[in-house]
Amino acid sequence: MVSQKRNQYWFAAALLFLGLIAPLFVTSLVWMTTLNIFFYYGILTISYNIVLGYTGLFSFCHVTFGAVGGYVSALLAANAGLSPFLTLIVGSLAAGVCGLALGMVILRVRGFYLCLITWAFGMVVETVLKNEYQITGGTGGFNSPTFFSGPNAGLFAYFIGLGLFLAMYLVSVAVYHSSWGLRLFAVRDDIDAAETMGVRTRFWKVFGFAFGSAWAGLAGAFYAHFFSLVDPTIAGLDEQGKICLMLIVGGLGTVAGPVLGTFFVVIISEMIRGWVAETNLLLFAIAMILTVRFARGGFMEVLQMANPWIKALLPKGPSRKDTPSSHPDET
Amino acid sequence: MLTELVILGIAIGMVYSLMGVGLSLLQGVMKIINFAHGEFYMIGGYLGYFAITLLGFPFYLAVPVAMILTFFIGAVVEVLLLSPIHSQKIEKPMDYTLIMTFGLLLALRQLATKLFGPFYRKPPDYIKADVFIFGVKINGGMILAGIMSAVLVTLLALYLRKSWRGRGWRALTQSGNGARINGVDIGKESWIACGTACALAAAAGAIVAPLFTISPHCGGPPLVKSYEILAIGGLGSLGGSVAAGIILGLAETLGSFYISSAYRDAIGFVLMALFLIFRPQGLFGQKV
Repeated sequence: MVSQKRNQYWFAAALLFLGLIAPLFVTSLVWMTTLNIFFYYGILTISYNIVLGYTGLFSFCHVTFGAVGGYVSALLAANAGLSPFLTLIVGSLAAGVCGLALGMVILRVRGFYLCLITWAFGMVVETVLKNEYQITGGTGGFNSPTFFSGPNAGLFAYFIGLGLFLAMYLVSVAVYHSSWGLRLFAVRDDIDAAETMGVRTRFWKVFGFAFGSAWAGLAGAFYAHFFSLVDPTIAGLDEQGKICLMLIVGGLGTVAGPVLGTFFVVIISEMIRGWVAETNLLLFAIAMILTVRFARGGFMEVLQMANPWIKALLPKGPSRKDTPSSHPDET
Repeated sequence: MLTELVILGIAIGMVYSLMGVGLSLLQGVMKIINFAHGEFYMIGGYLGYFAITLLGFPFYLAVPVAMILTFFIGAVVEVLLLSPIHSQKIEKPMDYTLIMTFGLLLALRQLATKLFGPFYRKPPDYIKADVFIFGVKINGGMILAGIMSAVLVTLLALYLRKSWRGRGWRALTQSGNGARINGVDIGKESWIACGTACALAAAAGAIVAPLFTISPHCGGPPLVKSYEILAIGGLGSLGGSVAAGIILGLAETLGSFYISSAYRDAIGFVLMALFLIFRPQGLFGQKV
């Protein structure tokens, strides 16, 4: 357990080092942008891991919270003239409050109703963003101010993204090893047993949901100010599919899995953009189906089987291990 | 005006229940939720469209053709992707299925976009004439869609009640282990039930294709509708699904006329939210 934690922090240090030296080697604008997209998706995927992988809640509106954070932050910065750094926090809090309110209403229902309601909520928010064009700019998107101006603005914004991404990763490591994390896992694995053991399951469900949502809002706000544009497509179902895919391919419920999965998906999709322009999502959806069918732990499970050193980086038992269940499968 | 709206609402409600019944059947027999249910609606719409435009079939042949082909697609999906649920005894079958069918949804949508292009398509109207009921003029295509859906739902209900296999499915709905002890082969029944559910969705798609156009992304709204029906009617209750479909159709038609047509889809959502908060087991479902 201790060495696992240490390896996870070493992984963070390696990420920091690679992130710091990357601007020296990556000179093309396309790849710098790709790295920033990686940070955006990375924060979203790790926070989705907290909701789905740690707490076991099937939320299909995770990117919607990203859009909420992005729009709140962009609107405040553009209309009220606040600094983007301040609105970044406000946007994140707004998404968190949204998640809290939604969670308190819907987390009383169990099972698949949750994904159903979150799905419908995401669709409603997307419709509102598209239709209220006086406020949000409609489908064309909304132009928001950037973090910095001047010749090196892109580079500075890159370091902001790196900082936020590392903060998200460290938070996910810390939650993983804390007593909060234990309670979340208990809720995920067996909610009745958790309730019996004195875990306030309702509170921890809402907490996991709102906490992940707040970080998603942070990712959305970063996106808004880095690309100086938010449009309703970032709240779309395809985006949710991408996030889900990155998490599944990387390894659900593991710490380093989402990072690897995001890296794989973002970088590969940028590399194959040249010859299979529009087939990206189709290929990745097939990859997701194959992963779920044949290696449910994703990358991390494959690595775990391959290398004993990496074993220490991973949890002892992946969340959906292929063991026969002892209890009858009646519900 | 009110009479027209009520008749239209019932007709569209029957189509909704045709979608919902398939989902409800799958939930009962396999204890899973199919996220790609709307995509089979889309596939059915495309198959019906091509049967009519390319092969020149009349609509009363095109709809069964779409149903039969989609039955086999659904069966293949079950055998290849969903069968580990009962053959490998996965710990959390619901989670597994949700992720799997969500991936399937994305893949099928992208595949349809690749194959058929992102355009809207519309087969020729099945009936040109308008129908007069209680002295009001109503679009004949809508009435035809309602009647065809009602016939299919009735046939399914009869099949479930009278046939040997239908008894097996009802037994599986009540208790998986009990059915297994009494000799129901879960592996076999699962793929047949999955194919049937997909065929019902395809029938809905083919029936309403001339009314609502088809496109690679047209599976979304019907999917949400069928979930709303499942939530309102209660899990595993066929009568509940039909009643919920009619309630939903009426609420939407009346609401979009008297309140605002822009919020047509929001009405069903609000209805479902109210049911989930105040009566989580639905109209006729058992307490969970």
